[in-house]
Amino acid sequence: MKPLLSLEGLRAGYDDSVVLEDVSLTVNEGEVVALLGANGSGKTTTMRAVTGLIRPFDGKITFADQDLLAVEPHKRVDLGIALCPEGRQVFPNISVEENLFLGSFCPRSRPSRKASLESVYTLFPKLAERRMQKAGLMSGGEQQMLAVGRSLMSKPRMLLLDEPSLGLSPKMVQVLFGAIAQVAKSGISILLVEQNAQAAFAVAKRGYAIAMGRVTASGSIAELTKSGALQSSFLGSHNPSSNA
Amino acid sequence: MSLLLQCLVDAILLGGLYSLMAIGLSLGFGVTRIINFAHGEMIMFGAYGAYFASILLGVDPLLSLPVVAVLVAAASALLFKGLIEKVLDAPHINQILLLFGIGLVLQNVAAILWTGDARSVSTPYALTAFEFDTLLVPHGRVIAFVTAAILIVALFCWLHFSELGRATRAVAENGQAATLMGINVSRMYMISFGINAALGSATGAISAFLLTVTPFMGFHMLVKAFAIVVLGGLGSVPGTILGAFALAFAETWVSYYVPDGSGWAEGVSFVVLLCVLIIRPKGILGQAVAVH
Repeated sequence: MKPLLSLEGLRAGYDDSVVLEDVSLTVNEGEVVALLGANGSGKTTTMRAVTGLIRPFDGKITFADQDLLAVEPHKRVDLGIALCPEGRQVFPNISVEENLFLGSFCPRSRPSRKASLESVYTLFPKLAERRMQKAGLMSGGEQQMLAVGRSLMSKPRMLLLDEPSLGLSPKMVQVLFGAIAQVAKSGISILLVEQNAQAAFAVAKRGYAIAMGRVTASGSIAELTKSGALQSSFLGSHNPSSNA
Repeated sequence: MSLLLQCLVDAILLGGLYSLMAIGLSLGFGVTRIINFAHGEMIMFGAYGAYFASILLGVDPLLSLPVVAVLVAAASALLFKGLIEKVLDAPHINQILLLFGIGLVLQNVAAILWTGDARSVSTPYALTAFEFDTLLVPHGRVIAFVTAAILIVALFCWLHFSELGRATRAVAENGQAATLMGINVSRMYMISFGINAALGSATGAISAFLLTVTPFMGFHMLVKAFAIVVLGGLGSVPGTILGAFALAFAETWVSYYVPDGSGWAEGVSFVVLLCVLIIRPKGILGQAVAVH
């Protein structure tokens, strides 16, 4: 089976600092893949390259047999890629419902806006209660629900989740990952960036460990845990000569 | 008492025009984070458009207004694509110099094409007025107020109830998140620049029967619009309207109650600008603007 998303030899960063040295990974249709690693290892940069918020220096990104780098960032949403960004990035002075409407801005998802809204409200009943409230006035957990809901409004084939558990209470993490598991069950492929490995393992089948901008280990979650690859990627013990 | 009432009525009518004059400048900053120092020239071209439509074709400024606004919007969108888009990420000083330079060029193009003569449009309603006892309410100013109010309400509805308007607000709040929604941010910049120019030119078209039209009228109005926007808070629509009425009241009060006041009234905007920058730099309703 051909992967839905594949990155090959991705090299990327900001201005002249290289964050990703060489990242290759694949996500198959309907699969949940975790991208694990310590702070600054390049997880968010990988997500930003896939969505087009940054332009990689080198490498290839393919989505559904299309060369993604030839597609303008805002058009990638229409192809079926949605990112729920790190730090939530909801529109603070816009109401919850309008935030969700913005999620289905792209032409492909606009006709089914009503149905998408219903399914997001079913997934997160809290958002239905708060629909007229300004997004910026909600708690961090509610904003995270909104951010996930907003990215689902575009009816993605592939959902990129960047640190959804960041700054949330353990209880909220549980609620959120329950919802993510439900999304995964509906057949949407997910690439999940997490520092909370426990939470990530609950939904992901396969994972990549990333450190210093390189993939250091990959395989099923069971394999990764057994080999100790994760510990070393989090501790960065892999490349002791580096001073980054 | 009757003088005070007259002062209040005049100020309210002027406030409507000022709101329209400043709202494009304010909204433009909110979306693109660029202050359009050529906004006055959009007003000036709107005024000339209405003037020539009236002189050459005999069309009333209120009827030519939509056509003039669309033409100025289209030209401004092209200007944005051709020049301004290139400085979006440049330091603020470069942006200011470019926009200011564009304003100077446009002023002088107008002066070359149409000479520096002061002109005005005479309409049937320019010199008539409602009279209530001693209170005088000029028809032209009422018409200007109503037109401004209609346009501002239309803008508000567009921002809140249309797909593109909602996208505009999203871009103003967080451009990167807007991109993630599939919104073409640079296209929204262009559209909002065009709409703001249209609002400016509409102000000009109305001014054509209230004020004198000259190639250099825009700078004057830019300074006032800038004072209003700074007073109300950059990027805030309610703040802009509040600022517009505040300036209108201050100017009208000065022209009625200060000896030789009508001369001094023109300086009020500078005093307001200075006071706001000293006392409350973020404006009445504005959020603090981050310096990048």
